[in-house]
Amino acid sequence: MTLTPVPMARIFLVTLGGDLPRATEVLGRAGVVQLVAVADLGAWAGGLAWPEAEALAAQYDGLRRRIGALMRALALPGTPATGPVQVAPRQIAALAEPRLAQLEGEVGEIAERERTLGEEAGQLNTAAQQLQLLALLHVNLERLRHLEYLHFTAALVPEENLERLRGSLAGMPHALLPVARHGEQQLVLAFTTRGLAAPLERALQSAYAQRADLPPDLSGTPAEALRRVQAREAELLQERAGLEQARGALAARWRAELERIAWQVEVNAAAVEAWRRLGQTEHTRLVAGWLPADALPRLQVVLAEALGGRFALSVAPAPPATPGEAPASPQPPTQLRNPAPIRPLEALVTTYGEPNYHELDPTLPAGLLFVLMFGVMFGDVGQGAVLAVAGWLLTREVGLRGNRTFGWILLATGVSATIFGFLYGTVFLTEGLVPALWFQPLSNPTYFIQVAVIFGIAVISLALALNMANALRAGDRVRFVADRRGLIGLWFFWGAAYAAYSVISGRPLGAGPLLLLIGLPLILMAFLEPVLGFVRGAGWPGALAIVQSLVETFDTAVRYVSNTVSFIRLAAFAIAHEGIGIMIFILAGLVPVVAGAAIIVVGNAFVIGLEGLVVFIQALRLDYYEFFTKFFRADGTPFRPFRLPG
Amino acid sequence: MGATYYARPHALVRALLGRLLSAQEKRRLIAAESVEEALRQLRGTPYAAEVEGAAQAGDVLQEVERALERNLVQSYGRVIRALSGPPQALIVEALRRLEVDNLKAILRGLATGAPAGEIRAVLVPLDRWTLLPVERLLAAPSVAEAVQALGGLPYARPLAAALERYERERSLFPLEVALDLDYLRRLWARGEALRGSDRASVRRALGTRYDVLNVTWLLRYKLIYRLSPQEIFNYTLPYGYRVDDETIRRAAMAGDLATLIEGLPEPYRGVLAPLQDSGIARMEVALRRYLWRDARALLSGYPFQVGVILSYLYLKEAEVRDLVAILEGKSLGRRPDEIQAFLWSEL
Repeated sequence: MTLTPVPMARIFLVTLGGDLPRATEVLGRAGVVQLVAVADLGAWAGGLAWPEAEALAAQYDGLRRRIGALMRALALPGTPATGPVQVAPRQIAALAEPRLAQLEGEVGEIAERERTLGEEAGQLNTAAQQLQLLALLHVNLERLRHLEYLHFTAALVPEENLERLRGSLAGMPHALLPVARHGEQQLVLAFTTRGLAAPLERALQSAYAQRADLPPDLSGTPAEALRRVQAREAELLQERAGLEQARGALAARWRAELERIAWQVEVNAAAVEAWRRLGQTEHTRLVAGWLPADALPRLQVVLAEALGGRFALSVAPAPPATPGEAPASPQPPTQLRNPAPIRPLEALVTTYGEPNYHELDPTLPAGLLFVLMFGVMFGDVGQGAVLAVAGWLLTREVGLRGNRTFGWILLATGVSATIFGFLYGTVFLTEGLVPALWFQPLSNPTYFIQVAVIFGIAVISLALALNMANALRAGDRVRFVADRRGLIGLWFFWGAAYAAYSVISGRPLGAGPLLLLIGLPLILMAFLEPVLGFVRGAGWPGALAIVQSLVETFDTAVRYVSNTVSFIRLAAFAIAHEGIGIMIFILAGLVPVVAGAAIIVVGNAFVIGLEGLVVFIQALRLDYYEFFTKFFRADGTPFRPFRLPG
Repeated sequence: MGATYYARPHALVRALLGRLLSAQEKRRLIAAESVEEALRQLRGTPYAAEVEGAAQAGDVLQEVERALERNLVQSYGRVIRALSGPPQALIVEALRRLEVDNLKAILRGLATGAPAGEIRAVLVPLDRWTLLPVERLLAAPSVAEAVQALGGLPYARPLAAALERYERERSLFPLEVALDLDYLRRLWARGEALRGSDRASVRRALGTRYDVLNVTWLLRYKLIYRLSPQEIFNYTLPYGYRVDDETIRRAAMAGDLATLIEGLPEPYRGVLAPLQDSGIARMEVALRRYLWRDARALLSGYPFQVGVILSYLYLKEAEVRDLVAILEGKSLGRRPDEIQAFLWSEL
């Protein structure tokens, strides 16, 4: 059965505190359990919180950051997997801490010196760039600092703000001279009159500029000061080269050990992250989670082997859905289990949303409907075959990689279009090459529209049946009967369909049957839910609620009609397909043979591309809007089991 | 990106649009006699799961509001999963605005010394869509340390550049403005990375939003913060659809509100002119509603472009914000007309 997800079992595993690392290793290697945080289990688990796990997780968070910083500082690549690692978070952390501290000490000395030198180099560089520009002026720096009529400032402006800064100064007299880039900042010299100093400073400030005035100890002419700055820059360069060598030697000495520690921390951090979800008593630890029921026996065996019987494993089936109420505990995750040929169609469903555990998985009906509806609207042997071949090539990753799922969908829709092509007798928009096994769409549009509407009625009925099945699975009998998409809805829908049929066939129904088929279910739709609520003790619903129910009933009735009519597009697109074919062949007949052949080829390509796309969208739209909205809540969470790295 | 690319996302967005509440449903919510009645009504909408899930929480209202926000994030997630390449990157970046809001909330909390629990309670639950190390940020002893904890994230640089001013002025204003401007620049760049009709649609959809942001900021900077024209110019965005640099410069120099509004292009002049005496809050609501109308108008254009997706997401966000406003209004006993006055959507 593929309409239901993989049955999940809820497990509670109790181990001794000392056995937890081994148990974590077993669970993490098995990769079949999705852990549930003990805090989410409800009030009963309130006293089981394990603050030490949080502290440990914070410690590991810190360790990982420190390792990352060290790796960067030593220019080492990421953490390679260096083989199996034991889960022992406390021991690993205890071993790692002093070694990391020692390495940080050694790296820190180099880094601190580098930082100091870097800062000084940056300041010197900024000063040098200013001085190079000022050297042209042949003025004394002291005089520049004490200009009588001008206000002068140097600043580092974030590059992305420079243009904005220019724009902001457009209305005032000023000069803004970009001197040089400093990383992602631009060094600028800004001048304005003394009277406008304040607006200039505010503008610079609002552009997040940082002041970069010349150091006060620089004196003499700019050229003299520049020479002194450049001499110091050369000294710094040498000193930095020495530091670089020292860092390389340090990296070579520590690399193997740092990578080993990093991998141990990586694995144990994952274990600790899992521990944050566990509960504890004085001597035991509680693991709560979900696992596929059929994975349970194997898990029991590996746990027994690893822990030697020192554990208690309580297993319960996933709880049933609780009708109309908030779930008492975390809901089971969903793992779909469609057979391989159907699996690619899951993408059509999960694009809309993940089924929740308690509702039926709509992949099979929705996927088949999609493929079928595509074929109905795009029936053409030749064009269908082209799509099928294109799909097959995608599944083999010929030309395009990473589109295998779409390839399978395209292959299925292509096959469906080919089959309907045979039914309509159409090959590459040509009629008569193969006999129509059913009929040609344009030969009898009225009949086709009738078929489309009947198909629509069947699809909507299926959707209502699925909604009722979901209600029954949830034990929600009220929803099964009284929901507007439940039994009453189906009663009204079929009644309205029969009434419409009787009008079309010239035998309209009398008042009595109309009341029975349409009136009564509408009345029930409007009043049954409020009345049931009243009977169940929810109190008098109030006039507003009644009015609301009436409006919603009217809305539902209109939607049923419009949703059904919506399926006429199946016929419309099939007819349009044939019509476009006729048009292309008429055009081809008006020009010489070669041009006519070109028109037919291009026309077919155009139809495959554009009409194929439109039909794809329409089929998807019918699935999502007319079908899913009747029964599919799509509020589930996918099954994501806990796995240790490596 | 062509029509082939947008086939699946387009069908999804059309289906999701069908799940937005109608004006009638919103009017009924506003008219509900109590917050309980409004929650009961919400059970009959696509938000039933959110209300049911929160029914047993200690603070039902707060839990419902978080669930509604989570629903908004899930809508982003659905659309993001249906996309790939540059349009996906754009929508992911658009979602990051909620992350920027969270980051601002954390910085505000840290600056005012609010307990971590209180800060956590106001964060939009972004689940797997956030890059922020929330717990590390909450544990930071100061704003400066929090900025340091952002190392490697795109928010670190603008905040680091603004930190000196924060330390000097003890005001979060420079930090928040830097964060906003930097984020909005990156978002615009994502749009500019697109081609053809996609880029044009983004310029239209995002450009209009940037217009509204610029106009809103102009009003605030001018009337509340009383900033200089140079500062106003630096604190606004160089992008937009109808509002350009010249408009901003003119508005920044305006002597009074009437002149400022007179200098704006249509439709903003027409939207704001009748509200000159109503206060900034009313004017901001009017601008947001213009955005809402504009987003709806974009839906009726050429469907195979990312602008339609941005419009849907805006309408979805407006709906979630409106629902939160309605529930808050109901819990505070506000009259329906008072609640309606602050909704993003037009009823």
